[in-house]
Amino acid sequence: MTDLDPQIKDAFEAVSLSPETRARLARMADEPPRRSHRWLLGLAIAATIGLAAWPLVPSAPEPHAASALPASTRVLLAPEDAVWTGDVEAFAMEATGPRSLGTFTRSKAEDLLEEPAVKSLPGGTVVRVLGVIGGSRGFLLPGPTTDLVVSPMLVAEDPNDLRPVFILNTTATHTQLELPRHDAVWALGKVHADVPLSIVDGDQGLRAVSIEVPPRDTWIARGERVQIAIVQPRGVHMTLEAQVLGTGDDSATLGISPVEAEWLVEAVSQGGTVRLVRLRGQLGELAVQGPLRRTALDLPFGQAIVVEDGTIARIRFPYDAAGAWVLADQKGELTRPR
Amino acid sequence: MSEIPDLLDRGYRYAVALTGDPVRAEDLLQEAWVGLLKADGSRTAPYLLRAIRSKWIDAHRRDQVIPITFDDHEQPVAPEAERLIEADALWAGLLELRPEEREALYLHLVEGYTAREVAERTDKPRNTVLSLLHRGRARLKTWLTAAQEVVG
Repeated sequence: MTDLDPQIKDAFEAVSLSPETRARLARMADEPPRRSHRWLLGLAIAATIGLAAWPLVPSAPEPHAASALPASTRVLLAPEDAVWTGDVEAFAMEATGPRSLGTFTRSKAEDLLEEPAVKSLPGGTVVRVLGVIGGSRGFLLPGPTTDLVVSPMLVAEDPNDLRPVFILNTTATHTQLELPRHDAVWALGKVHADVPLSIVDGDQGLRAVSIEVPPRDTWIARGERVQIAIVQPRGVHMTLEAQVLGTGDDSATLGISPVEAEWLVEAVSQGGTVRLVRLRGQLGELAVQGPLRRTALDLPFGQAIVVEDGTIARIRFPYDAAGAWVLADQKGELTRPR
Repeated sequence: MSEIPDLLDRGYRYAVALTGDPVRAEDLLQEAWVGLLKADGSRTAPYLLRAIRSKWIDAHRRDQVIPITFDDHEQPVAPEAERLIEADALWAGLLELRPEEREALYLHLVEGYTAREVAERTDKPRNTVLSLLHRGRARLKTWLTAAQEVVG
């Protein structure tokens, strides 16, 4: 024991988690992560729906194609390595949509943002640097986003508690946000404090799945459990179950595990299609949800496109631009509304 | 009912000792905590600390294969670490230590493990642990002395 030892001990013991983080982690203990055991039932039902729906699934438009209804679903795979090393991903916007500029250290990414908004990258591509996405708390930097608006998803109850978010893209009717896992958890925990942030599976914990759905008519509710069916040409490959962690006026966020996200990416990269399925039999779970609940019955199917951006893989679910959503009920009966 | 919050704080301190970065420590703690819950493991300090250490080693392995694009090879900075330094000047010195030294000091001085127990938990020979403790203290003392000279 040296005279320095008590000081070292005191220094360590002076360190503590923020109350907010401590509460969030403690809450996880009340609802430990678990894997759904209903997948067999889901598989059978989704197989029925999926196979029947196959010919009716609208063809996917190009990513970010001009559309009056640019609804899309994005599965965000946080850049895992970057999350844990402090590196960040910078994104830029091209005519065809956002692209990753690569992985940088934080300081380099900050430099990128300070540089002129329009710059030329190797290869002659002119891009506008939109922002930087980081994996750690407090490290989301807004880019030059003067013409963008923040999604209502992150509007906290306390206006002083707003959090800077990374805005991936906007259209006339939608704003796409990109959030790393921790920020998504933080935001949802903050905005929807009554939603248990359950982690379905995976050592890495929650990853956010951001869904943009057409406003109003095909809404899903916070707390609802939806199924993601991966359909391959031979039939349904697998189904996953996910909980809707939060919703905004035109977006929703699902919780899936990293493992499941990787399954999605792998399946789709091998030619599969990912569809969202909501089963009417589960609607009873909606009764306890909050004011954002809608009475719409089904979530539209979508056809997925995988976009690989460096270390980030995204799955997009562009829907039929004409609004010809394909719906299915529990019996697999299909309709084309309106 | 304060066991879990206390446990989480202990885990966080250990993670800070390993990473030297409060933000990364928080990530590390969450990762380990989720793994512990998923495995339905015992929610006790030894299990959590072991899980944290395991995740930290995993993270180090991942660091080996991080793709670096463009020409940036800077070491990631830890801006949040400044919060620690501001909170306690001693932390400035602690952050100068090697993670192994901080870890040994934490386990020995805060968790109260003997050198032999630290050795068992870190898979190191006892003499190595003693050496880490000695060198950590010595470097910290040197750093603090130098800092005081600058100030004084």
